[in-house]
Amino acid sequence: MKAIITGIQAETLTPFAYHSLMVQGGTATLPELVSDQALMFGLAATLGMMRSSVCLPTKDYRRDMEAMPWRASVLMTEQPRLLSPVVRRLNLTEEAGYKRRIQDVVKKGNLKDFFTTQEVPLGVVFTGALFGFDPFAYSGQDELVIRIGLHRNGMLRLRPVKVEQVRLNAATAALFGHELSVERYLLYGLQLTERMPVKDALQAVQQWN
Amino acid sequence: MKALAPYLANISALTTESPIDDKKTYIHPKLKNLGSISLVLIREAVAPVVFRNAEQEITDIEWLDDLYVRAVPNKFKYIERNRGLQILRALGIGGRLPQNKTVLYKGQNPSAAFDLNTLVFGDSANYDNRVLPVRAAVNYSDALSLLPKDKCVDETFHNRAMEDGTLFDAESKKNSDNLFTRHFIKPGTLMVQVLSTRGQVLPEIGLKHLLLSVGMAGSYGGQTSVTGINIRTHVVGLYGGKFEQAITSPYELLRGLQGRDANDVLAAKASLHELLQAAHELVIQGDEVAAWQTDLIAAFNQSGSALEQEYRQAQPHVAELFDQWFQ
Repeated sequence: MKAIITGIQAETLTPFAYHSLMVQGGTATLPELVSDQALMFGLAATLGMMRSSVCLPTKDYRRDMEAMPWRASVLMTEQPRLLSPVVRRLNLTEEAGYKRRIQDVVKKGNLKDFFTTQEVPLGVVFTGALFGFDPFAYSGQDELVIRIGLHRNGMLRLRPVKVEQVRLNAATAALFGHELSVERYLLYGLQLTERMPVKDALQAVQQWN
Repeated sequence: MKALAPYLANISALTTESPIDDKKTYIHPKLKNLGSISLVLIREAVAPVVFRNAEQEITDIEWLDDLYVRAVPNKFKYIERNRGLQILRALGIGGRLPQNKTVLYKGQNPSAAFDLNTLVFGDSANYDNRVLPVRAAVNYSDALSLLPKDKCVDETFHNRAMEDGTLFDAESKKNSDNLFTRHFIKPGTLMVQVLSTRGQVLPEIGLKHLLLSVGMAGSYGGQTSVTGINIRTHVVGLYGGKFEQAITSPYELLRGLQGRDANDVLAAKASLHELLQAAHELVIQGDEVAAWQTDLIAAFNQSGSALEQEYRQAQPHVAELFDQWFQ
């Protein structure tokens, strides 16, 4: 991996959601960050590096990230915001109704057909860094749009910017068999290290292969 | 349609790569799968429409210091995916299962449940002890009203009165408490929505299938038992490029419309087209796409047409894609 550091400023152009946290009656998104994995995969898709098929391969993040020419830090924001909950309906009865077995379960109240999601609004700005690759120089674009979130409905505009300090995801490091100290445990796949200068972060991620 | 070829998949080459996922074939740092096309639509309310959430009010979102009506993607996608299924059923080449209830039994081929509709709109199913994920080739965006919410919603007050014209129920000796307000989006309201693909994943027949599915007016949102057909769809245009552009976010389009004329369908189409064509390499005007749609609908209604042949020829290729990949 080359020793290139590209600071990234990412702005949401549409709301996006993940089922990150369980809350009463549904799920909420973690409002303060975009994970490094979302950034890496989103960028690979935008730069045309994914296979051109709608069928997905078996899930193996290590295999896929190893093949990418970059590693990334987590994108963080200083002003986390969430939209109010949106109600979603599990619409299974529209055609053909339920099978008898499911009907019994529904009648006992064991199927939640209404649930809520909470999205990160548009106009939130995140910053982080990409290591080993400069996608802007490579593609000749001043900005790139990547897709993140459920159903890839969240559009994120990436622009180059100067970044001093970043947080890495220790869970990604663990995939590559490296241990980093964790300052904040958010989810199993999102474990933040403390802030570190980008140069140190570059040294750390250069070992992820 | 020929101009779109660089951005679409080839129906007879859906499975050229070996499905053995050696990392050399999965991701390589060369621009092998670049291409994004966006179909930009204006949804015109032609009868009261209800897009609501937990509250009785119409769902909205704050943007540019104002509130705008927001219809989440599924309000449109669900209906159109269903129409796609009906098209395949009419031709007898797919849509075997009810929408959202894709079930595969052990020993069945994935193509028993997955069809062209799956390729266009995405789906997933449990199979044995695995999940078979198919991502949608086409992403729906939110549909946003061009005017602030206060200009395009209205409400009516309902009470359930008795036949004698009072609220007094002689049987229970009580006044009716069945009083509520019904909020709706006014007819004439315009909403902008973008349907886009990323990567060359959509074959030409898939695009035709999509255009057929979104081409007809339909009943969208809640309480359509009251309003019936309530949305007419106009095409602003079809835009293609190597990279997806920020302007294809409906929110960015709305920002671009500030200070421009977007009061009626024609003006809105012209203003949006102006914004979009500046950012894209390939531009196809809405009128041309609408003409394709008219031809497609006519061809669909005529048995033995070239379109039907194309659907039939595509079916084995699509089946092969799913069967080979998910074995």
